[in-house]
Amino acid sequence: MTKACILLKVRPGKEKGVAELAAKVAGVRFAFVTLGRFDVAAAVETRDYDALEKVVDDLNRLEGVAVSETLPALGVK
Amino acid sequence: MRGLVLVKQEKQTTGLAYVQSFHEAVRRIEGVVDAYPVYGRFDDVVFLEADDYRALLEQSGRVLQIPGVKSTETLPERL
Repeated sequence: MTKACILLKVRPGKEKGVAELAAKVAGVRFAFVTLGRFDVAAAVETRDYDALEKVVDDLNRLEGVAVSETLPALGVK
Repeated sequence: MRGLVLVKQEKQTTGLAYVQSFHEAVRRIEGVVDAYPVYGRFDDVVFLEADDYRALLEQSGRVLQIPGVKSTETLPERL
């Protein structure tokens, strides 16, 4: 199983809508609007890296998303 | 409310043993729902749940106090 933290910057006014849509993307455990360097943070859990890439693509396709940055978990615990 | 703490480690604290000890320490902090080492701009991410901004500040401060941590950047949930 692969975890990742995906950080999004969105167009002004789109924060809440993007967070709500992101939370419904398969593989996203939860997502929330944040203050700080990014606008939305998503906690992601997928069965492997291929599935993680699909989540990244799905999130980038959401209306209002401008930039994404993915922090994939190291394969150690 | 949720919060996300993005952690940077001192450069000498990169071995697997340190990573494991750091995460053992993180998991003892109240409100931590998930934490793991990551690739990218930061070294670790810590997801938190807190009652309010004051509690979140307290909890993220405890992450910063773990020996070996260089800096933290906290993204609080916008309520």
